[in-house]
Amino acid sequence: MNDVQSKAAREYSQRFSLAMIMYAVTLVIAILIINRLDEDNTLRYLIALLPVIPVLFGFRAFMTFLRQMDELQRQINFEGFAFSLGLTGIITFTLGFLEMAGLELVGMIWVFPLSIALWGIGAAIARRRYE
Amino acid sequence: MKNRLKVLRAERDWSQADLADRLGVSRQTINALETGKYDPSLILAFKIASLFGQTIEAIFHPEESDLKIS
Repeated sequence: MNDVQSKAAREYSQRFSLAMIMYAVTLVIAILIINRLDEDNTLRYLIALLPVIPVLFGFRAFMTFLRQMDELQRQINFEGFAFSLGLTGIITFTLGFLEMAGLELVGMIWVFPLSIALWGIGAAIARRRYE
Repeated sequence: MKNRLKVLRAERDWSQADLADRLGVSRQTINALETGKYDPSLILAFKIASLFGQTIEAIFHPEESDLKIS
């Protein structure tokens, strides 16, 4: 990779890693505090939202990186996003119908990891076409 | 679309990484351009032409099917 592109990738990697470390730290802190609070204490909800802050920083780092990518990298990611949006939508919609029919399923928390995984798969498929 | 990127690069004894560096794109993008798997944007084509001191038409050669108007 050339200087401009590798510098952008390095910066993104650093910022995103820091955000994920902070996420892990705030998650542990949040769990520890929540476990000490009474069940009817509404502060629990506020504390539960604490790990979202570093995630937002990670998201901002990713958006910055996306804008710094060259045109082919953006194209590859676009195809990855389309793949993820389509399949995440189809999968969650299908599961939604099954839930309406009474089947108990995994929760909303898995939608985001699913979409990220599908984006990675979609981008990898797109990348192969340009190799 | 065919192009003479690989020849022009070899004439100057540049690696794919060297060319990528000069154009501000990734090495993977240079590889995709050289193998004809990715057609550059107009602005990137102009940058390439400017770097080699040639016109876009002297570097990029569209195939018949590329020019077909439906």
